[in-house]
Amino acid sequence: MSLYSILGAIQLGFVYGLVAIAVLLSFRMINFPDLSVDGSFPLGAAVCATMILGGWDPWMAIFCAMLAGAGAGAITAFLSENVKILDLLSGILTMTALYSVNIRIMGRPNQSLLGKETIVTQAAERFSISPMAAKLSIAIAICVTMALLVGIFLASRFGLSLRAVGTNANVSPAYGISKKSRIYTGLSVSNCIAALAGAVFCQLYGFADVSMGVGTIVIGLAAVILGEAFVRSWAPFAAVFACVLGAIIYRFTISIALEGDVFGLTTSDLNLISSIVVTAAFLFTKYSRQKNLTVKVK
Amino acid sequence: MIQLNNIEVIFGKNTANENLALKIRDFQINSGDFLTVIGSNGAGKSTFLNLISGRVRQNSGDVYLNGKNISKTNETDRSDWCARVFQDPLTGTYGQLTIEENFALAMDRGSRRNIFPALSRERRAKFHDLLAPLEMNLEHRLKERMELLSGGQRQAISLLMATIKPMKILLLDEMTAALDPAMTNFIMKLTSKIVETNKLTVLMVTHSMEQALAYGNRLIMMHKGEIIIDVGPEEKKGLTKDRLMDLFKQTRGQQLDQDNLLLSNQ
Repeated sequence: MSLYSILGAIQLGFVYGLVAIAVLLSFRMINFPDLSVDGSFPLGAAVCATMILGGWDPWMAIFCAMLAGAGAGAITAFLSENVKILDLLSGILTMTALYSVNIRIMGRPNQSLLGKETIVTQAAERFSISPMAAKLSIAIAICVTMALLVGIFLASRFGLSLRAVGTNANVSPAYGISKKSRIYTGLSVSNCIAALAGAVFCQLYGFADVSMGVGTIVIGLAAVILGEAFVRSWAPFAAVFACVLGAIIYRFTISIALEGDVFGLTTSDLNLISSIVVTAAFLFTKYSRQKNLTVKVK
Repeated sequence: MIQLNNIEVIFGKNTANENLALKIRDFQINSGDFLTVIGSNGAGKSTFLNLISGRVRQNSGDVYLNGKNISKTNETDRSDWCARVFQDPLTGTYGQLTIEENFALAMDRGSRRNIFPALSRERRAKFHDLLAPLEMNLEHRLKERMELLSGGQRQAISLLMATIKPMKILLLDEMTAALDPAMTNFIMKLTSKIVETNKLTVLMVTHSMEQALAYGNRLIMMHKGEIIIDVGPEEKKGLTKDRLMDLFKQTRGQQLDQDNLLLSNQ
């Protein structure tokens, strides 16, 4: 792998680290299989690109993208908790609807930010660094900041109650914890972070595309499962940073598989490799846990 | 303190499986009562407890707390003044969370859950002091996950979690049903100690006639969703199994023939 590829994998790893945090919140912390992330990732990008093209400040565009993502999460929560639609289906409905919404927002299926002022051009200018260094620094800074904030949130009294609902929703009302409010909060925060990932991706790579979200959930899950394979802890900070680590490892695995030219793989094989990586990580985690639980009898 | 008026709980209403699970005309739980509830399977004991906790909503009638109608409040709202220990030690706690996290969740019952850290040095010290008298060495295992503990250990922690904050009533739902006799004895002694120390109002559902007679100052027997026997403090002092069965026969005109109730000596 060239240095350029390595830096590219790290950069994308940190961007997808945000997606991994989002998936960790929904799938692991509140135990809600939320597929709307596949729609809120491009939603973030669509809102961000449209606002930048409309002359808005790139940071304000990111902020609004996050708000839009939180709204999408709240809609999934509404469908599940108020309309009482199956959790999986609630996410699918939001994701499907967002496909059309994203085209509406952009006015077309994709937008380019070529020549526009973004957080990358701002950082490169302000700190007199190359765009490549600016992109890498931004990806790391935003992902690490968000990981810290989510870690603090999950370690808080409210955050703990969120995790409690994911662990045992049945007993929670007896301790004064409303499942409904935690599902709303969890999904809103999760999709807010997924939209942030989409907005950052859009500014780092200079485009937004309506189909850019396809498979996002698989990447997020892959990162979470890979992270758990390396760091086995349910503690808030360890779990959050483990999934970011998982996202980086995942990106490296993909880069090596595609660039190594060993198996004759091409970029169109990306989704196949993703699924194989997720399955392998899942099996690794499962068997290593079984091994740990087995008592050796002499 | 808690008043129930013309309560009816019907499961599967307007369906082929419609079942009148609870029918209470007029019933009162006074402050300081330690009420044991006994009855065979399907008698309505758990429904009665679930009605008070707010987990089950009545189809008709009203529930009052200190004269205030609380019929429309749910379990989350009532957790401010109502604490509970569940029957199954595996599902009554948060298995994937640590012992200290379980305690932290119980500490915030009845108060607003904010963004302050759930665990602090002061809180850990309190949890340590609560666990030390149990002599189960759990005070040194605060960072271990609950699912790694035995049923008895989990139930002891459940009891401490339920009573860690002030409350108006403590609900105990067959909490020793899944435990061995030695652990049952330990948990019941611990319960008595906590109840006496904190002067709690308790509603204990049990299948064990021994427990129902040995603990508390008031006993009620339920049958087919109704309270058929209500024994007050004076009468309960000299109450025996035989006398209780006689009371049942007088009330219902039939023998108490539920094996699980008669044979349960835990």
